Amino acid sequence: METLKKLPQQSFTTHTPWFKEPVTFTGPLVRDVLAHAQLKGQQLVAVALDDYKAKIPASDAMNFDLLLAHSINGQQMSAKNKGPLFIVYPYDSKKELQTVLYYQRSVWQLKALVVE
Amino acid sequence: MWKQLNDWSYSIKLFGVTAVVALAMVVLLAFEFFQRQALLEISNLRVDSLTAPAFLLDREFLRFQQALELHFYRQDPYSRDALQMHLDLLSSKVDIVRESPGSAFMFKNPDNIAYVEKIHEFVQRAQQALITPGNRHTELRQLGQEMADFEAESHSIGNSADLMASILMEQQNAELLAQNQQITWLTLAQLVFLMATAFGLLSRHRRQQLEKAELTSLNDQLRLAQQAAEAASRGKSLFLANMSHELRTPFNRIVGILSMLATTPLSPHQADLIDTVNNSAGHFLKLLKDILDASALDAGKMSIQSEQVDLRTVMTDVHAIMLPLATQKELDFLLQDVPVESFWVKSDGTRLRQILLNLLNNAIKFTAKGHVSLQFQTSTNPSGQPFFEFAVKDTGIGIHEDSLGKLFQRFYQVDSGLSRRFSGAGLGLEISMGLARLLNGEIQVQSQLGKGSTFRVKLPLLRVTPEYTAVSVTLPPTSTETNHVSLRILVAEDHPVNQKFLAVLLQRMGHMATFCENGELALQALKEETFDVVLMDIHMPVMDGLTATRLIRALPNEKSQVPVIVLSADVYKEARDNASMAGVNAFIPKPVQPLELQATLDQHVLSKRGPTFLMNM
Repeated sequence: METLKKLPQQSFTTHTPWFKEPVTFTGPLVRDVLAHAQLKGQQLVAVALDDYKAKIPASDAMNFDLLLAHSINGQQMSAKNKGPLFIVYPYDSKKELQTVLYYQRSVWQLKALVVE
Repeated sequence: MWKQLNDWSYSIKLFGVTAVVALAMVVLLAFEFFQRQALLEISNLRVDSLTAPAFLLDREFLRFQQALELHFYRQDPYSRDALQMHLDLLSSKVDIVRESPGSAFMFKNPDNIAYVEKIHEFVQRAQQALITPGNRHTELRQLGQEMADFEAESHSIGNSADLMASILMEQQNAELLAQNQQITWLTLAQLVFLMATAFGLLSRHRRQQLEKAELTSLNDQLRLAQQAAEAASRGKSLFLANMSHELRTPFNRIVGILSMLATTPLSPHQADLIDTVNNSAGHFLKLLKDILDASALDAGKMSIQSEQVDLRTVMTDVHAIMLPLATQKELDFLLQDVPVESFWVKSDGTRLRQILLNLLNNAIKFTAKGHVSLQFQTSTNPSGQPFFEFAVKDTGIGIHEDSLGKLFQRFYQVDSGLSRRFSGAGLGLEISMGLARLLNGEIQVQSQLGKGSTFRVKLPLLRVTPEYTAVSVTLPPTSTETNHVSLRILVAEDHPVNQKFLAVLLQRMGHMATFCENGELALQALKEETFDVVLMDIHMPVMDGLTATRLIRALPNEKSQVPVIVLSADVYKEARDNASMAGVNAFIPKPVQPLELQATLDQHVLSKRGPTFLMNM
């Protein structure tokens, strides 16, 4: 977590299907995380605490400002409120992101990110 | 009127149909707008899944229950950590269900609200229990018991959400179907109206085409009919002109022979008879001239010569001519406002005299007692053009108001009763009006039944200064004895009767006449002898008069300047124009009137010989 916070931090505010009001997410970009870890692959598999799994094409990290958020509205997230990490797309920036395809790739309570 | 009504009802129909179609389109647009709004609303909800939160909640409920039981068995720190994590997961699922906009539909079932609130409250208590340090065995058992109590309820929430989602989809489908159906009906209605409008427009267009075709054909028929009528009218005019023209030749002979007869020794009774025949012949000649004039006016062939005319002379001339007629009927004939000296204008003296003589003749004819007057005046019309006016007034029978408009029509006489009393062809006023118009003027009439009439001849006033001081004379004084000058006259005339007539006439006028039968002989005679004037017929065998005139004008010596006077029954303008182009000095229509011949000789021959022979008025 400390490593993640040392990476360049990004923030954006967006509407989401999970909150009634727009919220602000903060955290490093996924592509910065991957670069830092010197990891390359075709796709990422995000695994949640409840074992929910979603496959994310590696290109999403390049094409969008895909965020590995650790804070929501300035508050660090815990497992109790969708923490500790949340993969977030900037939904409001593009209409195509406001679809189920991207919503199901947005994994919260992230516990592992596997690069394949 | 009917057509206009038709147009109105058509316009109203067209407007109605257009309004209906427009209304249908507005309704369609509204439908589509609301549909789009509904779809946008759903997509704005940003729902990832409608049913997943409910199922996940149930699953986390079970996992927590499991973790709780495991903790009871093991009672170790690891199971306590697991218990805490599963409670957090359960808590997050409760929050998702409570907060996600997509679960709103789920809460349409009040049971679901109650359950979610119940489990929310349960999670709060469980958190409280776990946070508190020490052994919370009793509380945890209590919680496990509670969970067992609403386990069934937890399982049912997934099914309920599923059912609610199905209902929602069904509702949305039904709504879309209904809207779709309405759109279909509206579109169909629109289609029907559109077809009706198109059909209406098409049939109207066809009808208009048909009407247009009918109109065109009617127009063609009318034009043909008009052409036929005009041709017929022209034919009649031509026939009339030809007939009167043809009548002149035999008439000419009758007059000629009468003149010859009059020179033979006669008993008083015979002389009286010849006098009567002469009067009738004069009347006959007047009618013929009228008909010829009228047909020449009709055909636009009346010739007008613009010359210098002294209106003072015109007045005194017509007075001298008409005075005997007036005196005969014991009427006073007055001249009023006669110019004190010569009053020269540019006009056609002959035609002006003709008009005045016509009007005066009528005035005398239709006046039984009282007086007839001729008044002169000049003025300007409203547009500032100067004009002169001759007013012919009488104290005669007058003309009824209703008849005034028809007065200048052909053959019109005020009534048949009058026709019997007053003779005439009924052409006089028409000819006068026609002549006045040719002179760019008009004739106006005022009349009161029983009190008399006033005819005003108004002609444009163009004053001129005469180029010569000699008085132009077209009518001789009543006596021919005043200028007794004997002229050598060459006459080219093929017709023996006309020859005899002219021989007698010229002899009586004291001239010496030499006759030849055609133009060639005339040319020959002129070369051999000297003549003061040539009288030339136009239509002759061997060489016609105009050709002969041209050849005379081409002669090398002074004989080419001999005055040539044409005698012809052709009264049309072309004949005169052709004659003057050939070099003719004067034109006398046949039958030759002694006075006219005298005047023409005076003007073209005697006047050129010196002042002694000038005629002075």
